[in-house]
Amino acid sequence: MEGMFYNVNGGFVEGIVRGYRNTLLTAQNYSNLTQCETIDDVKLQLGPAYGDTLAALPPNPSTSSLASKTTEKLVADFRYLQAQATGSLAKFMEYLTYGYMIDNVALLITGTLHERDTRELLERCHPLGWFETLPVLCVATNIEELYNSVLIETPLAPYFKGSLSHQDLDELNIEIVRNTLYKNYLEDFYHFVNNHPDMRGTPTAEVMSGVLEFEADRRAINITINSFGTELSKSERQKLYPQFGKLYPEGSLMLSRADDIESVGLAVSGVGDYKSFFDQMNQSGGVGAGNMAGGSANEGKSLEDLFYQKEMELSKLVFTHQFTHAVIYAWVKLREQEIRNITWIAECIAQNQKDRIGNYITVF
Amino acid sequence: MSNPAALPTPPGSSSSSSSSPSATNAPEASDAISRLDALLEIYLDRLDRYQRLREELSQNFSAGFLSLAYANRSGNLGSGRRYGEEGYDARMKAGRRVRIQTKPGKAADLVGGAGACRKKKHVEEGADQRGPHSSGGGGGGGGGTIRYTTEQLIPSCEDDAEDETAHSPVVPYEMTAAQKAFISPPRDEKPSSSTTGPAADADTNTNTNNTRLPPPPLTPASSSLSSTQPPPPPPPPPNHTTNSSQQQPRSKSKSKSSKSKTKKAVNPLNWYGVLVPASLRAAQTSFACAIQGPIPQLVNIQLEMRDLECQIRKIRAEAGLTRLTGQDVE
Repeated sequence: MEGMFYNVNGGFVEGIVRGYRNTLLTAQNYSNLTQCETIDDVKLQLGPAYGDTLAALPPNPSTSSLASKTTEKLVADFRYLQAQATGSLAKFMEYLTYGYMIDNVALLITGTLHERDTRELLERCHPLGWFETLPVLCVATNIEELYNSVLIETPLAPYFKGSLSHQDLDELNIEIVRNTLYKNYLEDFYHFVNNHPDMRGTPTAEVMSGVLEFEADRRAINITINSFGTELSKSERQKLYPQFGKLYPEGSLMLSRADDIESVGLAVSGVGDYKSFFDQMNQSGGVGAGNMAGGSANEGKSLEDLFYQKEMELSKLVFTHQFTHAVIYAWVKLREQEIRNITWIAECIAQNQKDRIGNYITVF
Repeated sequence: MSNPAALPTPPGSSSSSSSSPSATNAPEASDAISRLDALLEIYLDRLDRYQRLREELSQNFSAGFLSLAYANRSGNLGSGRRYGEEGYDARMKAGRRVRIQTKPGKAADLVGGAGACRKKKHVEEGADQRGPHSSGGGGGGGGGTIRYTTEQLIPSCEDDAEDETAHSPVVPYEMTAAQKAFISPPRDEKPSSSTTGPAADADTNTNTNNTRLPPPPLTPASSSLSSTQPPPPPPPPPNHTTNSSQQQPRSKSKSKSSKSKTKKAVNPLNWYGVLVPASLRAAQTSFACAIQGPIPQLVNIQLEMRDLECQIRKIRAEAGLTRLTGQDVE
């Protein structure tokens, strides 16, 4: 029933996204890529999928320019979809861009703090997270000013609740602001997909809830692990955990008390998927500070890889649902992973580290 | 840095030299040959150490860059963003400083040993002229000796230990007494080195005064020492300890002031936020290790090797095995 009228507004966009999904690189493409000897070969192999986008690159481009060009393609495709979207779908796609906005805000505030030339930084902002008043951010020197003069007009304004208590801008506070914004954003997005009249009770709500819960849990776990040995206190850390997800509330509480990677493993053991991640890491012996270090010799996947793998599987599953906005979210995630894979492969080729080139993640 | 294999190693060292001794002064020649052998032995030892250090360095760097790539992949900064120069702090300060200890003597051009390692720590060449009592290179008998060490100015995230004078463990260039006896016989053809001593100092000063901090002025005592002291016979080992005790208060006060100045955000890792992924920390550790460990040692060994080459050439020329080239006369 719920899909009866979906195609009136969303059918065209959904069809395009499904078409995009079919152009994603497959395992066959990746195995061809890993055979490449130079970045030029990589460029050549990417020709069918990326077409003219990579043509402007100089011979043997750096991996960062390769990454930025592939991102450009993603942005162009996204903008095209956005131009077609109406109603709740348009709102949904706006929500997708808020995450990038938060990253851009953090970049600019940090740059201001570091006395950088902000015009230079503006060029480096993610195009999906661009908003009109972004350049004005460079004048802000404390959070209150930032909020009152600049961000009040932007979609991010509601997310500032809870982070205005910090007055001074320093690295720690920026990190807290950024993560608080992201937490509020995720919670808002979750609320949006579950309560918007167009989406409530539809496959969109169901599917998006799943992927957003996963994202929330992953953030909580990452924040916890990365905070070991830093000046972030446990009580502050707890405020950064999104208040939904499979870990919330018991797991979050245990996470907030965790001191080391073992207690993180214990905290997430209530959720089967995450438990198996930590079990796999235990088996491969990659637990500890080196669990995410690329330099170690163990062939086992790192926790981050396992999370990315899971994210990709979830995104792939989204395409089995019909009449849902979630395919756009899934497609963006898949494309981002594709860019990460390409960058990784190019990086391994450039650094002559062929033995680790197989660490890309693919589900197709 | 030049490839060790490309360095002019003496061709056909012992076999050719022993096969064609000069007929006139046989005992002198055999003495020269045994000295030559000792020198070559040391030279090969240094070469071996050099190669091992190069290996260590390349391991450090490749691990560092791979970890960096991994950190970029983690997407912790946000999608599509990389840990790169966009996060640099324009007010950044050097985290490590090169200390150059010179010994008056031949003007040795400064090899840019610090240039290769600007990745994370922004090594600056601190033109830290030290007194003449550098511990290395005693056997040179007047060859200028420059020693590079890096010192840590800010505590890294791993060790907040307060030892500012944590030098890298540079292996001093020491020779056994027997070797010294072989290598530095009483020689008189070195009066020029004492005159070139201050010139060398001035030279190094001009070469390296593009630093932020002005080089601390030479204390009168040390400068007078450096100008008046004749090229010493191999300096006794206690010199080193007195030297280090001399320089400790100075370096301590300096790092203390720099620490209070850059109290906040001393660790460049924090440019990218507080919650950076572990792989980025690993990358920083790798790069920092490379700067602390192998790089200054490599530069020192390279200088030692160059010194040894000069000596070998000279001894060979004295023994009449080869002709003295213009390179050696400098």
